[in-house]
Amino acid sequence: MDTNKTAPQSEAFASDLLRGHTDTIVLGTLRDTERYGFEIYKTIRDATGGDYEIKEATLYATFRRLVKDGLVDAYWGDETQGGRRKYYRITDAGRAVYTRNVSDWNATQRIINTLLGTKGTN
Amino acid sequence: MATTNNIHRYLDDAFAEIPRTPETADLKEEIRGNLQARVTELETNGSKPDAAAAKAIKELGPINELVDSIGDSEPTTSPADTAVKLIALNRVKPSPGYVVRTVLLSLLLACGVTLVTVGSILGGLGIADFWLVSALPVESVFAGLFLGVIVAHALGRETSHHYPTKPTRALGFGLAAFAGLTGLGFAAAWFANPLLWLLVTGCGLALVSLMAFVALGVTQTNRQKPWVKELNRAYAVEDRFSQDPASAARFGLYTVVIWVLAFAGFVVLSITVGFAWSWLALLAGLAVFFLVLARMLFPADSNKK
Repeated sequence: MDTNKTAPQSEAFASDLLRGHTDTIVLGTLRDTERYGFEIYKTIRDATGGDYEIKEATLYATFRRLVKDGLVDAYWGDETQGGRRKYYRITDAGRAVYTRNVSDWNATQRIINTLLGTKGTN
Repeated sequence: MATTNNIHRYLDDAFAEIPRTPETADLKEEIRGNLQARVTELETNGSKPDAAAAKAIKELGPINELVDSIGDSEPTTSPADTAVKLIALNRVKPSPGYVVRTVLLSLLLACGVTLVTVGSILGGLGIADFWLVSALPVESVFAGLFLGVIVAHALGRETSHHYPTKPTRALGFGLAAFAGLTGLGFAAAWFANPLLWLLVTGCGLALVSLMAFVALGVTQTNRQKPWVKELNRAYAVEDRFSQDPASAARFGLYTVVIWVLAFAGFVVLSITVGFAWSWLALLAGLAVFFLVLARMLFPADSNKK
């Protein structure tokens, strides 16, 4: 929530707040299909139209944490051409955590919007 | 300088100072794959290879940060823990299409082998009709084909434990398996239907297959992944045959002496005393052989290295 380090006007959002949701965002990209690291990075980058680029170091740390907690499975693809790719697939536990985090966020968002006296968008 | 060289050299340099653990090695490979994907994307958008590699590396940020981000794992010392970790880190998931194809081909192979076996036996006994017997060579070719495809396909895949075999070698193994099974099928069909060409072709194919397997076998290099080797070393039992060549050679000589004496004793006793007692020589030979084997595997002074 401390955005004073960088010029406050350069981004229209608090990256710290966003960073706190990296796990959920990554889980979200894996909901429908399994992906490898760069694919996840690209999905997040393209989804925001390039406004928000997640730091790769953050992403690798997130993968490790999610695997350790059993929220995603990691495995090497057996494609023979091109570079080797490490794929991530969401587990049932990961789905449950994702759903819970999203509903938590929605509730929090409603409360904050109410408290700030602004009209929520949904 | 080629693009890939650029990335690979950068990674090698960046990881040169970092202690090599299963985790860091794994991270390096993962970063490699992702960098390659990013470079490909940049090149598709019109970047020059060198510029694309440089940009991808710049975007990655300092490697130390990435390594630090995974460095929180506590050091595990138990070999069992390490094994579990290694297996999880190196898991390669086979593609579903490949699994389905292999299962289907295996079923077809089982049907083919059963048909050929049953057909040959019934034909040999003279209770099969003409059509069943005359279909045997065709069934053999198909069974061989299924086996060949399964073998070539399996060897060309990367698995959790093995790197893929070179495509040409995988094809060679596949063809050898094809020739072998087809040859055996022809030879079996000959029992049901004694045509000379069946026997000649069958034996020829089997011989070609055998030679191909020998040639491929003696030129085969290691396919095991480093982590498998590491695991094997960690779990290596005190095996004197591979660890103490002098003892192994001595054991080989003892074995020859024991069995030569046992057989000589058997022959001499058979002539002089008769078969009723001569087998005792072989029994004695076996007993002595096992004593020597026990001494070989579990040396009396095992503390002496």
